[in-house]
This record gives sequence, structure tokens and C-alpha cells, in this order.
Amino acid sequence: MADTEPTGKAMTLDGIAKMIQECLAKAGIDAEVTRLSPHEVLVHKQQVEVQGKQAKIAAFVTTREVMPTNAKAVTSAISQARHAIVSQKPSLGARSAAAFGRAVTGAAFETAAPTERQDGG
Amino acid sequence: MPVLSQYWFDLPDFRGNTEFLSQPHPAGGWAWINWADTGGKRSTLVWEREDRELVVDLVPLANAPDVLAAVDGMIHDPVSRTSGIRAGWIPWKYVPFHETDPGRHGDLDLLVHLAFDIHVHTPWYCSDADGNINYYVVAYLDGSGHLGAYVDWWSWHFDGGGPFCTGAIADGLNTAVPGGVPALQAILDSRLALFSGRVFDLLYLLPGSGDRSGVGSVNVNDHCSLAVLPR
Repeated sequence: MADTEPTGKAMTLDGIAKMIQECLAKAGIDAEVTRLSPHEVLVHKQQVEVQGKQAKIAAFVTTREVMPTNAKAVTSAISQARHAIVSQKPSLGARSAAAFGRAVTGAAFETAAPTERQDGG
Repeated sequence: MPVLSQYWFDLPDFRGNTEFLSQPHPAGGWAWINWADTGGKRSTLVWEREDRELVVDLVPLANAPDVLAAVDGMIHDPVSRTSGIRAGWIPWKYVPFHETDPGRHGDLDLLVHLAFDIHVHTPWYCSDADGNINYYVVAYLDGSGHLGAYVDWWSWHFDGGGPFCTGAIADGLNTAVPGGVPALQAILDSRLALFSGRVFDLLYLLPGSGDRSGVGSVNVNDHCSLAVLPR
């Protein structure tokens, strides 16, 4: 690395990827750099021969942990306005209810206090 | 003739596989339901259904050609839809990440859960991913008894895409899924327009197709009907 190149915290994902690509190039491997997202970059070569065998190379540089699930409220003006005019919606929350039974251990389940049914669902 | 319907659910809080029996009976008379074995069931509901009840089965509605075309327009290559659209119910307390806005609904308020499966193609350096896209709809009556509905929440989930493509897949879904809300709301509005001239006293959901007689089973997570009582 030349003295003028940034190091440590000053390096960018693209900068690190370029360094890896240059290292591979010195070994005669013409790898590609693909920017997967604003937070991820991949240096890769699908087919390369290593000691007479076919190999694949992939070097992944990322600044985040990805969760494979997400959820959010819809916050558009239309949904907000409609939320405000709801008079009745399906619910099982206001109902005549009881829970009973006996667990394997012999402890009784909690019994809910009966309530008036107010609406449907 | 009124109908007494009883539903037994595999899971607590009225979820999962559901067995049901509906028994028409004379007004002012008993309705008898003998059920040989309710073992393994974790919750049950009973509903006395009036003659004037109107039922709308939501699964055929959600899989109408124009709806499927609109949904397919929300997602683009490399994501493709791999299932029909499910239309079940879900109590609010089971909606993913509901805890980020706990007062939005009551725990057992029922939302219509529209969901479909997806496949995500990836380059050679990743495994393909499979997952699902979900929209949560509130159906309601306003103070005048008019029927309405709005898309209230969305979620997605996938497995696969490793080791390098999960971020790109998540970014794509984080754009596409909320981006589909206006199109979905437009579809809801076009369907609701059919009811715009009518006024209702009560709105509720029923498991499955809302059958008024006989026995059957259905997964209420995937299939429910909307029922209204015209004024």
C-alpha cells in the first residue's frame, strides 16, 4: 500500500475492494468488483484454476448485519385518515370468554374474567 | 333460519388449522352440536348468525386476475411470485413487529392477512432465496355504517440468499413491499365501491368461506371471509 492511501477508519468499502482486486491481479486473477448494496461490496471470480483444480473466489466486505425479516406500519395520509374514522372493526378482544383446562403438571390455566361482547369477529 | 357456527382452532387465540360445524336451527329453538373429539384444540369460537348476514369470501377475491396482475406489477425480477394470495385473519398481537407500535390496535383485533410466497434468483456466488410478502388490512365500519378497509401494515421474510446477497434482497424488499401499498389500496377501494351505497349494522370475520351448514376444516391463517349485517 502506498503511503498516500487511506488506512483504517478512513478506508471506504470500494477502497478495500480495490485493494483486494489488485492483490488478486498480482496473482494473475482477474476478479470483478460488484457493489451489492450501499453497505456491501463483493470481489469475485467464478472460474479460476488453482493447482490444477477449478476454484471460485469471493471476498465480501460489509458494514452491516442483515435481518431476513422486516415489518412496518403504513403511514400514508390515507391510512391515517381512515384509521381516524373507524367506528367498528372485527375483534375478538371484547367477548364473553373463559379459559380453562389442566396442564400436564396439574396446574390449572388462568381463567379470564367474562366480559360483554361488543362487536363482531 | 339462523345458524349456529362453532369453530375449533389448533392454536390459542383462534389461529391455525380450524375445524368448524354450522347448524341451522329454528328461531327460539336449540341448535345441537355434538362433536366426538375436540382433543388437541386450543381455542374455540361460537357465533349465532342472522338470516340477513352477507358473506364475502376473501380468497377468490384476492386471486381475481386483475388483483394478481397488480400484485405481480409490484415485484420485479429477480423476485417472482410462487403462490396464490392467501387471505386469512391474524390477531394484532401476532403481526410481526407489532410491539413497535403496541397501542395501534387491541391485542385480539383481527386484521385481514394477505400473503404470498416469493422466490429470489441470485448470482452464482449466493444461494437463491425463498420467502413471503405480507400485507395487513383493517376492515371497518365508519360511524355511518359504511364499509371501509385500509392497508395498515406490511412485512416480508426470506430464507437463503447467503452468504453475500441477503443485504441486496432486503434492500429490494424494503423498497418493493411498502411501494406496493398504494396499488393494493387502489384495488381495495375499487372493490369497496361495490358496497358504497349500502349501510351495515355489524362487521365481523368468519373462518374459511363462511359456510352456513355442515362440517369442514380450514387454516384460518390463510382463508377467511368478511361478513356484514345490512341495516
